[in-house]
Amino acid sequence: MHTRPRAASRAGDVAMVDRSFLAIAIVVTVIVVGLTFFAAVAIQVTPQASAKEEAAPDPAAKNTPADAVKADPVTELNSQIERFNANRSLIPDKGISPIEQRVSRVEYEKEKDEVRCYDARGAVFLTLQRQPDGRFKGILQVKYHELVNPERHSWGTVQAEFWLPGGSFPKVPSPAAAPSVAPTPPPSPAPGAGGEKLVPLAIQLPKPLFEGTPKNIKAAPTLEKPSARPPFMVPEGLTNLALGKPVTSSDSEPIIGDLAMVTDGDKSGSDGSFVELGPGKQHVQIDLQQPALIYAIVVWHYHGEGRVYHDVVVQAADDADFVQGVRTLYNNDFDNSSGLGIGKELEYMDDYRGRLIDAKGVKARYVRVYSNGNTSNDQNHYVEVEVYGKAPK
Amino acid sequence: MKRPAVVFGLCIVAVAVGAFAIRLPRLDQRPMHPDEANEAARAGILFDTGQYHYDPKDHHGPSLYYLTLPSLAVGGAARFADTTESDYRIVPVLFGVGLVFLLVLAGDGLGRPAAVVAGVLTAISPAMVFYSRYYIQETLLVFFTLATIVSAWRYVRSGGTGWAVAAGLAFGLMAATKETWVLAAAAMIVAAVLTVLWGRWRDACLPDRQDGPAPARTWFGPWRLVLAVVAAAAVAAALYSSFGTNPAGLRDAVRAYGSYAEKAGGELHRHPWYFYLAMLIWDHPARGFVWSEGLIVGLAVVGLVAALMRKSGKGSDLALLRFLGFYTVALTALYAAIPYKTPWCTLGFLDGMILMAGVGAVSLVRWMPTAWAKVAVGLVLVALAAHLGWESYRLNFRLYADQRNPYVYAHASTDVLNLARHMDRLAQASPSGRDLLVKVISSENPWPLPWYLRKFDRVGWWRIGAPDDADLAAGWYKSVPDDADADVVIATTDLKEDLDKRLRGSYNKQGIYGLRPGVLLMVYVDERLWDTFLLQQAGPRPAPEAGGGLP
Repeated sequence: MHTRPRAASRAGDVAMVDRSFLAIAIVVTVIVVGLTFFAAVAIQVTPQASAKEEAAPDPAAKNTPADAVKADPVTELNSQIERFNANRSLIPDKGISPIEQRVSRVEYEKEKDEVRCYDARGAVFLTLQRQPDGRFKGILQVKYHELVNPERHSWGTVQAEFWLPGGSFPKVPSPAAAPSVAPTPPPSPAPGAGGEKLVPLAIQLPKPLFEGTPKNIKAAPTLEKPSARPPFMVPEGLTNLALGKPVTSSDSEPIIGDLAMVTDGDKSGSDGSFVELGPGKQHVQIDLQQPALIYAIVVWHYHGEGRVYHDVVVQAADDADFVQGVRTLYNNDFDNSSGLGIGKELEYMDDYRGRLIDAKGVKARYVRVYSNGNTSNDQNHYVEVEVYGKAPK
Repeated sequence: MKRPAVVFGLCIVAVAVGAFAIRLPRLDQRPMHPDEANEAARAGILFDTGQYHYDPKDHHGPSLYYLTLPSLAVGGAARFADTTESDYRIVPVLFGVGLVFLLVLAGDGLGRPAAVVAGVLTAISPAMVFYSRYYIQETLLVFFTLATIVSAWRYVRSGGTGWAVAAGLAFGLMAATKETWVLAAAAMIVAAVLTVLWGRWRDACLPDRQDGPAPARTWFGPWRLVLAVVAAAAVAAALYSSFGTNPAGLRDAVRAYGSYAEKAGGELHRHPWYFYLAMLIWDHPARGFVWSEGLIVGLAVVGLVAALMRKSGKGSDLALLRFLGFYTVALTALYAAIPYKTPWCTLGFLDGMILMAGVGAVSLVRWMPTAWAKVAVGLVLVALAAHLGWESYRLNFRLYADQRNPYVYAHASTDVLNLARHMDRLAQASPSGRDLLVKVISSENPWPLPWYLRKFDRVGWWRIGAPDDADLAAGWYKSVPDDADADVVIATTDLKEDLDKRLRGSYNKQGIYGLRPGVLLMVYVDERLWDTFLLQQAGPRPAPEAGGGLP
């Protein structure tokens, strides 16, 4: 009895839903295609429109004004920038970025006989220097992208020159050059043999090549066999004082493994023999349970693949909080990124032999080993730490 | 009937909002994959110069780059160097969410409950989330493929001209996204044939039953099909020819299949046939780590059986379900048969599996004889889906660049971010700022390093080696250049001996950074710059609680 009306109702619903969906789909499609087309066309129309303008000088070459300035230097330089931006599309196949800065003020530096141009933020972005003909010239490096062919592209810079007439600023005889005391002076160009001014040599650098997906390298044992380590001389009768001793850490909840693995004597580096601490700077701390004379510490991070662990710092102390008698025995944090001071040691590739650290017979009860991620990931791994020493007499 | 449609629409919107919320956070957290960096650089050229030329050898179709332009414009960057990871990754995010929205169009085909379940699985699937936050073409390809299928299905049902054009447009965009669209198209043809054959064989021996509306009588109108073909061709041609500015792109779009066919059988990225299935069903990379999207695979099998055996229940279109089932199986088989495999290719058939999993989940519940049994099965499925969500969180926000993540493949190490920060600090210390001279000399693929050095104006790149393909050899170097000196020299560790011989200046050589697992970079810094850098970094001596500092 009801089959027919329900079917009709359903068909009506379907038609209505269809129409609604159709309308939505058309609108969405039009918007997506329209936006894409607009974006694509808009970005390509600009150069073509510029190309219709009157032939102009090569924007990457000279932007020389007449010697008589019709406007003040700020206006003049800004008009030259505008002219460069307008003409930059005339270099075929080079997509030159527009110069964004504008000159908000200029300052004449008497000592160097140069004009400094400041942008709206107050930063110097262009310096014009006196030329032999008396005029001032400044150069801006402007970026470009170039499609060499469909497979390759390049990016780099072109030079944009800006000029001011010599009369813009009076020439003042330079005083004798005072010795520079700036901490990091950029090497200022010395005059050449013929007395001509020297400028940095502009060298075209090679660009990065596009490449496909690189090979996926799985973790594998380090194949390279390190050279033999020379014998490390220590007093007789030393033992591994760390074996089985309690370990604490900055990460109380390791990602994998447990802290006891650090002193369990298993140095194999395979699954199940290391503890993995969280990302960033972490440490493990071994309590030797009584003060000892420590002569050597050997640290194994993860040596299942070629890795370098960052900011390896080894310290010994008399108390668990590392407040009293703290001595740094090893530090390769070359840029102080861990905040423990700048280290002079070199970073190293972990291998099955572990890193041997000369503890020089320091007397301490606690040993702490820091690390700060590694070259493969952010985590910190510890296979084993051995502390060789003996009880003090 | 109206109210369920509204409720269904609201459910899909809610799921889509959830999918967006899962995909959006911390888009810039994971270092750029070399492929992402390549794609971003290409989009950057288009953004900076307005130029794009289709590359028939690599990097796939043009749609990704053009569809990124609105994002870059909205992001406010003036040029490529100012863009960020998020500006690019938001594009696949939106298309990943779009996959959920497309289910609105398939609700009366899959069955509305099944469509909602499929939406939830799309939203939380670890692989779907991972590659929806990955600036490559895959998510866009899957979106346009599903859009093609759904539009074509609605066209067959209604005979509407608009749906024919919509299907054509989606197909054109699919073809302009990635060359592997031919695999999806082949799977569609196989699926269509098998759907018809199966229907004739299986349904002929079963009592008649209404399993969804019949196709419209007018669907095979020749002029509508011509319109669809014209729409597809127009969109694809417009994109491949860079909107008419590069007509050679059309020829290259055809030539590309030669190089991709060659690559498919090559040694690089060669994996066994079960690579994808093993990755989805049971991945055990290390002790303590097991990953599985087996819930989706298992439910998809149930959904396929339900569709083939006419057990999927009312409210769905059996023909569509069977088509999707056959399509998924065919596409999985095709990808399994090709030796060249990269994990992101799984997305194409995983989306099909997810749709069938929605059908499977609903069928399982329906098959239960009592209400309590239905509730019990429903709760088990919810619990398994929650576990999938937890995996998704772990893989996308904790182990996002870890080798134990099955979707991390040939990925940059997180250490490359440390290198980028180090370079920024060196630039701050240098009187030249970002104009300091940098030379990168690498025997390995250096990407994504060009992305991380994009703000530096004077960077030279020396790629050391000899590619087999003579066409690719242009721009490569046989050895370390004689003039290798610079403010900063970055080189792969295998070049150390050669580099040290050629350098004339004095350098700090303490820095080593990881580019990818197994690929290490030495960072040499000119000693004058290094001294300035150290003055800036030293600061006060560390406090006692920090460990005491240098002895």
